[in-house]
Amino acid sequence: MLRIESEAEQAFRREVRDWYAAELPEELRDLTFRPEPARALGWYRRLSQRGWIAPHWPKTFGGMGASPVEQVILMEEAARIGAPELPTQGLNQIGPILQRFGTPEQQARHLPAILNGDVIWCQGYSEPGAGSDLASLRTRGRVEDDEIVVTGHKIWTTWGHHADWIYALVRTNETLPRRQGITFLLIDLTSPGITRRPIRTLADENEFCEVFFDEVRVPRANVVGPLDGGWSIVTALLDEERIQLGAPSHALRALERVRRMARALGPALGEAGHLMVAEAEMEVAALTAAFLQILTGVASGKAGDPSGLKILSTETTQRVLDIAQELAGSAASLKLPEQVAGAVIDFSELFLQSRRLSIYGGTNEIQRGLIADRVLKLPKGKRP
Amino acid sequence: MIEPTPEQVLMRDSLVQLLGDGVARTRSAGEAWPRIDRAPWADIAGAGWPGLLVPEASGGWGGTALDMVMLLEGAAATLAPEPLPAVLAIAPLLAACESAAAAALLGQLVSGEAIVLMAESGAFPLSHEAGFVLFDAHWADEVICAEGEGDAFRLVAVPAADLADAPLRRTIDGSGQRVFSLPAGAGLELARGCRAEAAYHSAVNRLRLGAAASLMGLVRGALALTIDYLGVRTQFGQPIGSFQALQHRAASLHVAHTAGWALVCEAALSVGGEKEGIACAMVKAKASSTARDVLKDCVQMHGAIGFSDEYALAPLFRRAVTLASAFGTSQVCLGEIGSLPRCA
Repeated sequence: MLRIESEAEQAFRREVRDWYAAELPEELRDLTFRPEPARALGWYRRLSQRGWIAPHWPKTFGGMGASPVEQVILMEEAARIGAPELPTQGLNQIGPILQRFGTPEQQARHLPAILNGDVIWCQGYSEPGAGSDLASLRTRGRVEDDEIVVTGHKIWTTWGHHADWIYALVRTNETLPRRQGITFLLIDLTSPGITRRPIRTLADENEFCEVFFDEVRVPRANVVGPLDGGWSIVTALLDEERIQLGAPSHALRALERVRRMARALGPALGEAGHLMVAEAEMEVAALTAAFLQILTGVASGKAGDPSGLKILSTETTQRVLDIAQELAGSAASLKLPEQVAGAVIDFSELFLQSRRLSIYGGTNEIQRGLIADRVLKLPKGKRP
Repeated sequence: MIEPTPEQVLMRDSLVQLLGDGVARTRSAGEAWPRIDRAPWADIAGAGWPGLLVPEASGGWGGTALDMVMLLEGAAATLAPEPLPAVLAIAPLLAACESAAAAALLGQLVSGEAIVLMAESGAFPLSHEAGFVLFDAHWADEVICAEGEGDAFRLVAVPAADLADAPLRRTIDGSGQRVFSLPAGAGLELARGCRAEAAYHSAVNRLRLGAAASLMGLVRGALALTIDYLGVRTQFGQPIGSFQALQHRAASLHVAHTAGWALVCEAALSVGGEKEGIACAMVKAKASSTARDVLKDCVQMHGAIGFSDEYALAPLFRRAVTLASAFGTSQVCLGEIGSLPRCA
C-alpha cells in the first residue's frame, strides 16, 4: 500500500506485525502449500480468538468490520511473515450467504462454527458438464415430506475431502426453466450415501475432489432461501465473491517470493532481473490500489466491477510468478523448496498452484464476456 | 475507484471548458510550428490555474496532489497544446526555494507573464554528453535546471533565450524538445543544498504523477472512442463489438485502465509521505507502458480508420507516446524502484 497511513493505521500495522511474529508457529511459516486442517486449525483458532479471522464480516456476525485499509494491512503483514493460506469457503462464501439469506437458526448454528474453526465448508456448484455453465447442473433433489433426497455428482470441490459440510446447488424441479428449478442446500458430509474421491492436481496434491450423492437425505431446514429459488442466491453473491477473489493476498504472497529471490541473488540479479522485480512490485501496488478503491466504493454502495478485479488480481499473481520462474533459472523446475541465504524459497509450487486462479470463480474468459456485456455494453454476441 | 469530489468536478469542468478545442489548436500549432499562440495561455493564467498547487501563503490555491490528478486526467483528452501539466508541477518548487529570485519567478509564473518549465537531467540518447532535456521547449521563457547533489546541489533558472543554440527538435505531438548543456556557473541561482534537492525531487515526482494522470486520461478517451466504434462498425453483417475476440480484447483494455488509474490515485495519496518517490516512479512506469499498449490496441481494433490522421485517435496516440517518453520512461522509472524505499 503506497498511500500515507494514519497514525491509527500505523499503530494497527505494528500491532499485527508484532502479534504475528510472537504467535505464528515457526513450523507454519513459509509453507508453499495450504496446510491440512490438522496442522492449520490451531493457527486459524488463534487468529479467531484475536478477532482477526474475518476482517470483512460485519461485527454483528462476529467479524471485525475492518476498513479496506485494515484488511490490506492484515494481508500485507501475513505475506511478509509467510503466514499459511487457510480455508476460505466458510469465511468468504457460505458465511456471507447465510448472513444475507440464512434463517436465524441457520445463522446461529453455522456462523460461530465457521469463525471458531469448528467446521470446514466446501462448495458444491460444479459438476461434470456444468462448470461455467452452472445452470446446466444435473444433481437432483427429490422433495419427500420434510426431507430432500439428493442424488448426483459434484466435482472440482476444493477441500471436499477435508470438509465437514458442503453447500450445494441441486435441481429440485425439472419442469421449470433451468435457472428456476434449483435449490440451495446445506449438506452434512457425514450423511449416509456420500462418497468422496480426491483428485490429484497439476500441482501434484489433493486440493480438490469429486463428491457423489446416492439418495442422501437432507432436512428441509437446510434449504437456504426458497425451494427452487437457489439461483438468485448464487447470482446475488457472485459479485461479492469476486471482490474477495480480487483481494491481493495471493499476489502479495507471490511478491514475497520474488523479493526473497532478489535478496538471495544479490548482485547476480543483474539489470534485467532488477527490472523484473520492480515490475512485480509495481503490478502488485496497482492491484492493491484497485482493491482498496473498489472495496471503499462498495462500502459506500457503489457497484464494484468485480469481474475486472478478479481478472486483475489473478493475472497479476500469475505475472508475478512468471517473474519468479525467470529469476529461478534452472531451479524453476525443482519440486521442493530450498533454504537459500537464510530464506525458504519455493521455486515451482506457487507457479503450479496459481494455474487455478484464472479458472476458478468463473474463468477469466467468462469474466471478460461479463465486462463486455455489463460494463462496456458491447452488442450481444455468441457468448457462452 | 476514487471519484472526484463535487468541487474537483467543478474545477475540472471549468478547466476543460477553458481549454476548449485543444485538438484544433494542436493541429494548427503543427502547421505554424515552432511559432506558438500565447493568447490561450494568457487566459489560463488569468483564471489562476498555474497557482493550483502553490501554497496559499505564496499566493496560490493550496491544491492537493489528488486535485491535480483529477484535473489533469479530465483535461488530457482535450489535447490542449499548452504546457499546463508541467507548469502545475513546477510552481510549488519555486515556493519551496525560499529565495527572492525564486519568489520573483513564481510571481511571473502565476501571473502568466513567464512560462517556467524544468529540464530533466539527461542527454540525447545514444550520445553520451551529459546535459539536460526539456519538453515543451518552445513554450518556455525560463528553464529550471538542477546540478550536483547533497551540499553542492544547485537549482538555477536559465532564460530560454540563452538556450537558443541547442537545436529545437519537433515531437510527434506537435510540440518541441531541446537537449542542451549548461556552461558552469550559468543561470540565476534559486536555491542550493539538501533541502533544495529534496524539493527538486518532489517536483520530479509531481511531474511524473501529472504525466501519469494525463496518460490515463488519454487512455480513457481512446477507450471510449474504441468502444463506440465496436458498437457501430459492422462486418459480416454484425457489429464487430459482438465478436468474442474483440470483446475479450476490449475487456482486457478496460482492466488495464482500471489498474493504471487506481495506481494514479494511490500515488496521489502517497504524496508527502515516505513512499512518494517510489509511488511516483511506479505510476509513471505503469501509466507509460499501459498507455502505449492500450493505444496500440485501440488503433488496431479500429482498422484503417485508426491509422488515419483525421480520425480523433491519431493525436491521442501521438500525445501518449510523447508523454510516455518524458520525465522517465517505463524502464527508467522501473530501474529506480529498487534503489528507492520499498513498499510495505
